[in-house]
Amino acid sequence: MISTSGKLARLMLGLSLLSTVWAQRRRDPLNPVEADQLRDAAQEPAERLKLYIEFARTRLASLEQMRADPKVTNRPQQTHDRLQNFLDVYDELNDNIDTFVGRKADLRKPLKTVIDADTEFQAKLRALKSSLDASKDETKEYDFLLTSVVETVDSSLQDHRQLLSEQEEAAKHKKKEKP
Amino acid sequence: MRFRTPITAILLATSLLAFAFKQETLQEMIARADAARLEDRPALYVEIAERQLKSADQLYTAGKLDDAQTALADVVTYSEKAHDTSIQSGKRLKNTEIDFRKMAAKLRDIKRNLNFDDQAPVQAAADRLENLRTDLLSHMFGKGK
Repeated sequence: MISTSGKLARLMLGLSLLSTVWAQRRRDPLNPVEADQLRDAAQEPAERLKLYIEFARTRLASLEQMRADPKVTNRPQQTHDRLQNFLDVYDELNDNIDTFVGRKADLRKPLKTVIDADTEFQAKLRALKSSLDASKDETKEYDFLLTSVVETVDSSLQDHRQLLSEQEEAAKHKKKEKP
Repeated sequence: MRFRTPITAILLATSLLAFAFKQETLQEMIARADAARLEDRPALYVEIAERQLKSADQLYTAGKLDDAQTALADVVTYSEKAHDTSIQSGKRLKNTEIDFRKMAAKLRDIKRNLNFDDQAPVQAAADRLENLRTDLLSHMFGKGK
């Protein structure tokens, strides 16, 4: 089934090659400089995760700055876009953690940094959410997204803690096994 | 020493069987998804898409571009099926939307590790998933009904 439909699908993908220019115009949450930094750190879990944390932090800071600026127009749309940007970067951070776990990398040290960042993001997002509760009209445009972001960070924090404790346990056993 | 040949043969047969089983499992999964109740299909199709996404990642890493693009095409095909069945059944809309979001993030990450000439199909797949996701959101909030 896959091999026959695969031919058709490959043709479809071939056609998509023709739309390279269109594809390049589509949204990527990272700018070219950030993408280059990640490429340089491709084999370094600690460095790569640190970069993602920094990129996510920058997105949240940009959201806070925008919201503090009284001159900003179209605040709901801008809040939505900045939240989405943060979430895209944060999803990629999680995806990279999964990849490094798959490669059996020792993530104990970088995970501590990630957990610290999770806690920081969680506090900022919760503060944002409670500050918005008063202005329900404005939040219509991004209420669902904000809830998704808060839920994602909450559940990821739990996952990261769990993963750290599993890795610490595994490291203890490894030590014991050594003569 | 006497056992070496039979053991090698058994190991080889086991490996071949394991390989065949792995292949069959994907086919079985597709058959199971196609035959499942409408409300169960979104989760099964997402599982297939995620599995093929993992394969695509491994194939790109191994430099097998043609095979990777076939797997990538499966990601799009089964994501579309997940999208359609989710809307038809009205089930698992939010979970499917989250799954698409995560797969799109993975695709962007894969893309950035490829040569510029090989990036377009991956970006196109990520964009397609983003579009499916947006459409699901529209349905969740009543605009797509």
